[in-house]
Amino acid sequence: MNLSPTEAADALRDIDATAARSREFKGYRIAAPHFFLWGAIWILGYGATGVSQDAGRLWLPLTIIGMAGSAYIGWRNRTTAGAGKVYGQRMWMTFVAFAVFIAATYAILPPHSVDQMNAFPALLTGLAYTMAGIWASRRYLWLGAGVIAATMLGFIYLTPWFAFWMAAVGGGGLILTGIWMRKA
Amino acid sequence: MEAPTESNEIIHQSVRLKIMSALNALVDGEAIDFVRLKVIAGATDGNLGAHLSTLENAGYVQIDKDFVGKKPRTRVTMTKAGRKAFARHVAYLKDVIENANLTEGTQS
Repeated sequence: MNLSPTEAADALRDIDATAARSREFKGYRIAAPHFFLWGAIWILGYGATGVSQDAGRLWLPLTIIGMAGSAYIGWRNRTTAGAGKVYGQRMWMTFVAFAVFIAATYAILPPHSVDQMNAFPALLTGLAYTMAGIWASRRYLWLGAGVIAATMLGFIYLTPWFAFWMAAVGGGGLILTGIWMRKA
Repeated sequence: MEAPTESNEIIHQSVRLKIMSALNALVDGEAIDFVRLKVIAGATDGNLGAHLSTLENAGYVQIDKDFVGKKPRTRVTMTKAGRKAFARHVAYLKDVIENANLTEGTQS
């Protein structure tokens, strides 16, 4: 059977849309372990800060563990030779860019409280997810909006329990997101 | 690759086209769960099963069934023949549009 140009164009549009959906769903499944890892890190980091403000120094080793874990997950998910290395490099570069940005912001606008120090990286993470949601995969938009809303809610209304709030809602939320992504 | 002169009717059917598009977007040999494929293709269980059988009989997909714990799992992989047939069908679709554009250009 021969197809008309309109039928052919419709079919090509269908192919592109379905392929994009397939890749998007695959991306969610690949991302799921990262959310489990960082959810656990948020629970530990914010939870420890809630118990003692001195525990803030725990964030450095926790972040390094998270970076190494994310690089390992990326390497394990590599699909072609060399892809794992490229992924690992990009992951490290992303974390370095985040760390430099946060340090630069603190230098220009020094935080006046531990809660401010705790809230800013969470807001930045929410912003990164929101951007990813706007430009690439819709589920990140909901996640980004959720992280920003939860951070602001806790910071403004739950000040005495802010660190615990971030551990439970932020860290727990990331783990729930991981479950949601894995089911995609 | 030279484009075929006719549409591949096994692939061109709407649900089968979606199944093949979803599988083609994965890397060679990568499988997809039946449940996920159902969501991506927007099909029902029975509908998807029937279309997968057609594609399997044509040698375009491979269907593997196993158990994860006590839960049955069906996984679908695109075969090399399937990938080749899909690429040829896409080439045909592009060729149809290109020829129409050429004809339009000659007439104007």
